[in-house]
Amino acid sequence: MNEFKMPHSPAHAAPPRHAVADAVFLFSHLAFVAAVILLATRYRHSPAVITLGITFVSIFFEALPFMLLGALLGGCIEVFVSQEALARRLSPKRSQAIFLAAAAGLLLPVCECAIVPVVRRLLGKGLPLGAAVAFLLGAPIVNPLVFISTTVAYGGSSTIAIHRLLLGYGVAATIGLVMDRLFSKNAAVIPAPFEAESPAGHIVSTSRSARLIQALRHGSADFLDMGRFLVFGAFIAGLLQALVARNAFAAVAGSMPLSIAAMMILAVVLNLCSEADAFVAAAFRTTLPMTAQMAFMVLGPMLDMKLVLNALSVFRKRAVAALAGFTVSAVFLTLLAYGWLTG
Amino acid sequence: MTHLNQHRNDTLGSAGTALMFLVLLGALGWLLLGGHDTAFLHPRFRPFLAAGAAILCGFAAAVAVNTHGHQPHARWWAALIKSMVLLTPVLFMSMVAGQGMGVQALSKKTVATAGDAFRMFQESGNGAGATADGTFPERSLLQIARNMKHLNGSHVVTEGMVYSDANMPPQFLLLFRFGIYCCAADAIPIWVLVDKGPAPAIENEHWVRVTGTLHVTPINGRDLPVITADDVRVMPSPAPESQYLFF
Repeated sequence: MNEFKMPHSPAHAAPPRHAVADAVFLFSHLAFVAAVILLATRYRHSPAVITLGITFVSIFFEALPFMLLGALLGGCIEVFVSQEALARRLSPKRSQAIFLAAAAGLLLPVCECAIVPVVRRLLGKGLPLGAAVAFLLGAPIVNPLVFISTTVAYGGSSTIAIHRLLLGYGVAATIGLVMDRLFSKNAAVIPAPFEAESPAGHIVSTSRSARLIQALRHGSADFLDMGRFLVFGAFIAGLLQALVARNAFAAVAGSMPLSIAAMMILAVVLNLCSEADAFVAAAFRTTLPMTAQMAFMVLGPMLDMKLVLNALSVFRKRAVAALAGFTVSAVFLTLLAYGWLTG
Repeated sequence: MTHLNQHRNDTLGSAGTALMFLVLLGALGWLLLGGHDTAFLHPRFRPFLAAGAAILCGFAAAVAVNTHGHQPHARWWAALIKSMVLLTPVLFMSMVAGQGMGVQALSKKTVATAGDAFRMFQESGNGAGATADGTFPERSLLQIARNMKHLNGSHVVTEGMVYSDANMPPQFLLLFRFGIYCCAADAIPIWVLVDKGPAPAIENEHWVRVTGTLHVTPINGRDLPVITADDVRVMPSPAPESQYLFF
């Protein structure tokens, strides 16, 4: 067992950060803000910057309520769910927990914008790494809202939606098992980065209103820490949407592996909501094979720019790189097999 | 003295965070109360935006309460910088307010023909209730794209933005709007070809109102919707909030 407990030491006891890391943080964030101000002021009349701006703002405000909800849910988990209660409900068999977690989105349909804060708090409460990864990857696909939107996008046919959910479930469970086997929780998870910066504090209170305020403080701290990754991801997605033509991806229609790879890249780049991405995938019906469209729909909710950046606030870089690498490989190989099986 | 400095810094960090929440709240208020949300999002996102605003209120209040508490903020300047990053979308929103996507976005977001891409969608907004000159029902480009075979030979009135280039025959123009399912990031161009005859060329990105007869015409092996225009009239650009078609 790789039991790992988030440290609950007071903030002032947190180890001092390295000056270089602070400088990198300071420089990168200020450079981003400066670049945005420059674009928004000096190049505000450029059509590409307008497309970038509208896309950036749209993605951010589309995701914002869900990220806030996820942060609030995470705060409530932190304050109202005890580690012991969670441990009692978890299956003692880790593999069983992983298979259940990959399908947990059917009961708790959390979209990819809300999932990371929830996963972070669940990890802190003792959820095993493999189950957390399976939930992180599976919930945004294996949920009823995605099933309905995919069915509608493909002209009322539920077959594509069922295939999508099954493939998503399979990949999520597999990656959960792989990560659980290769990483200990200590090696994969950043030990409570929010604790050092959280304004939430650690006052243990028994009154319901005080605990609600504590949950809000935890939630606000999570949002402050992770919301910036949503901003970075939305900005990069807007930039790529303003610069790269979608039609460029149709050029590889003749090759199954290339078309799968192209649509996987597009999924990572576009950062679409898992409830909407089926409609964009369906728009490629006449230009790309079904397998490539399916690759887009399976990978997108698991791995896109904002998700990768958000994951960096929970997992160590090595774990994020492994998670991304395994997910991309698993989706690619699974979709190749799917293409071969479905002809 | 150190304790005083720490207290001042904590207050600064918390105040900056609370201010960021309030600015985001103000942005959501501008989107919702001013009806500007449809310049970026599908109207069905309104309840979610309202829920987000409520959560932001709670977060702002909790952080404000914290400014009077005893919990030191280890890196107050980090909180300030993160807050600045979180405010950049609001800056961009103020920049693009009043502007919509045009030909540049069309060139990046096109993937397939209108009929191919949109036949399967169920339209939920911008219905056909309006009439033009009290004679012909006005149809959105989305309705035309979805029902082009049914409407073949019908008299139609519709509106959209103009695109033409040197590769197109001079009597043709492309009339397009963007359809969105969730937000402008998933925008897909919806278009018909318009045969305007010898009428003078119209500049790209001008909004026009076209009256004419719809014909489904095979072009390069595909059935495409083409309106043979009786009248093409330049109209004022609608506000960005009214430019999208919603699935």
